[in-house]
Amino acid sequence: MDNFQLRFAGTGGQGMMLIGDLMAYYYGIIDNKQIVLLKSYGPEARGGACRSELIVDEEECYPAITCPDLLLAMSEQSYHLYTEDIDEDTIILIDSELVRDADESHPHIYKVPMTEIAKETTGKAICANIVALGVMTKLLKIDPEDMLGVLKTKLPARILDINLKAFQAGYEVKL
Amino acid sequence: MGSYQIMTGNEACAKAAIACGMRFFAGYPITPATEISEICSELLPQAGGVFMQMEDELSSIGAVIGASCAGKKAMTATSGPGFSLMQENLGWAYINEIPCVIVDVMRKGPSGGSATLPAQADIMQTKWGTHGDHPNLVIMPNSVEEIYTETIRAFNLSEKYRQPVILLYDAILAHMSEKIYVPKEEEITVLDRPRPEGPKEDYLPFRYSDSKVRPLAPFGQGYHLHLSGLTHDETGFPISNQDLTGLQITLGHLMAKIDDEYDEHIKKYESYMLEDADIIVVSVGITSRSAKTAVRRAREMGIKAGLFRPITMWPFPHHDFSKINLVCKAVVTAEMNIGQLNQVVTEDIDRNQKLVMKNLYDGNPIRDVDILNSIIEANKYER
Repeated sequence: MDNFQLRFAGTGGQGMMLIGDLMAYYYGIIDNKQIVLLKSYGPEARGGACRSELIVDEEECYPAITCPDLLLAMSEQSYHLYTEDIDEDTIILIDSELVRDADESHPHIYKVPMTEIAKETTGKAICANIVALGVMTKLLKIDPEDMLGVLKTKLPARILDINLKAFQAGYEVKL
Repeated sequence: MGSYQIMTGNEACAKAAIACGMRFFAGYPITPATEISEICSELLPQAGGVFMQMEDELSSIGAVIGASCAGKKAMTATSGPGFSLMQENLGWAYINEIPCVIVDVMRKGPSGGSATLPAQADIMQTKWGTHGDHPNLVIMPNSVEEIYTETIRAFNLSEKYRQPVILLYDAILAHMSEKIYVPKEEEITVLDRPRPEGPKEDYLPFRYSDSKVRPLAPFGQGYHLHLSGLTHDETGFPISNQDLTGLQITLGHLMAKIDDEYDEHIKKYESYMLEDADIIVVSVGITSRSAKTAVRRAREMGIKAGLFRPITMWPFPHHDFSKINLVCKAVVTAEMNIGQLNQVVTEDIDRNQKLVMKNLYDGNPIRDVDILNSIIEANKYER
């Protein structure tokens, strides 16, 4: 794998920065690759388009995305803002309840109601990002045990159980 | 064995400073340097140090100089607008030879400019920002790991030569995260300023007979230490305008302590594929990373390109670069400003060599493909 680029986009408060941290930890520390993690968000704590971007490489990499290999979009606004540089090989994962106006003809688009799944399995919409992490773990063929290890290392104990449930639900989604 | 951790550039700077003994930080928050203050405010007290939030940047560097005079390793961090405000006191630190580290995280200027946009436009300011002749030690890292290691080197140079050192990087490096090796305490080489020996009453802070860096006594321990912004004699008191020898010695010493040690202990640069290079790209900081990719891609196309990357930016390695570029036909400079590095490089090439400038100052990073195009353009030139 040389130069693999991921973008996690959504609305402030949906946990896209955390997804960046968790994925960076997986690829950088567990998978022992070189990584660059970039975060971009507005001044608002909640609302407003935001994204974190992760570049994974065998060698030191330049900190700019040229064409994402995977795009996660958790809101309509972020989908439209951050899809300009994708191509037909990009894997697109959208929250099907929140992104209504996606390009359905794209050959690698996956539509999953991640926020709904989070509410059903944990009672909390805020866990949708970890459902997405579960789905992406499957899409990217990452060993789920490794990603569970990342969650156990990086998340505070008081919110761990609920997020493990969310991860499991995401990983088991039929794609 | 230390550990591998993921952190931002600003986090690496703050943590490295504390790891190598920085125990006093004074600062005023400013994007994109604020996180350095935030992290120091949390970690310094835990390490037995002092964090002070000041009312502005003038007082920030004033407090840092004061803490250093009292014997602590001290640092402040700011961006261009704050760095401008520090220039007067910075000059005071130069003439009194006070060790301290100033971090300038560059954003787009001039003036308030664009707080969140990166730039590399303070290169010249770090050389000539304060008035009068003075030596400069300025370091420009290009990765989060290098920010960690070069912060430590900044403190070591500062202590070893009794001299302010400026660590210069941009908003992109400040905020991006990378995996870095964080060494254990015993793996870090820490240098401390020379301390006076012998009777306290005989101490002279700027003794002429000491040709090397003179010992610095901390305030408050019984030594007679007088410091002033005026040109001083060996006692630290202002010098007479008639004392031409003394005036010469004072400035001569400032310059010589750096110049004499430069080749062996201060200069530092990266050479990449320069052995047979027809085209040499000169770039620093974050831009040097796209420059390196551009060089690699040019090589794949059969163009003999190489990269020259100063890490110690000032003093610039003019002598080495003049020798390195002797046989190349063109030099390309890549930087996020109107051409500051380009101007420096002009001094080192001759009329038969082409100089191509690839610069950008709209707040965007320079892409490798743009530098590659400049390399291709430069390669058309026949010497």
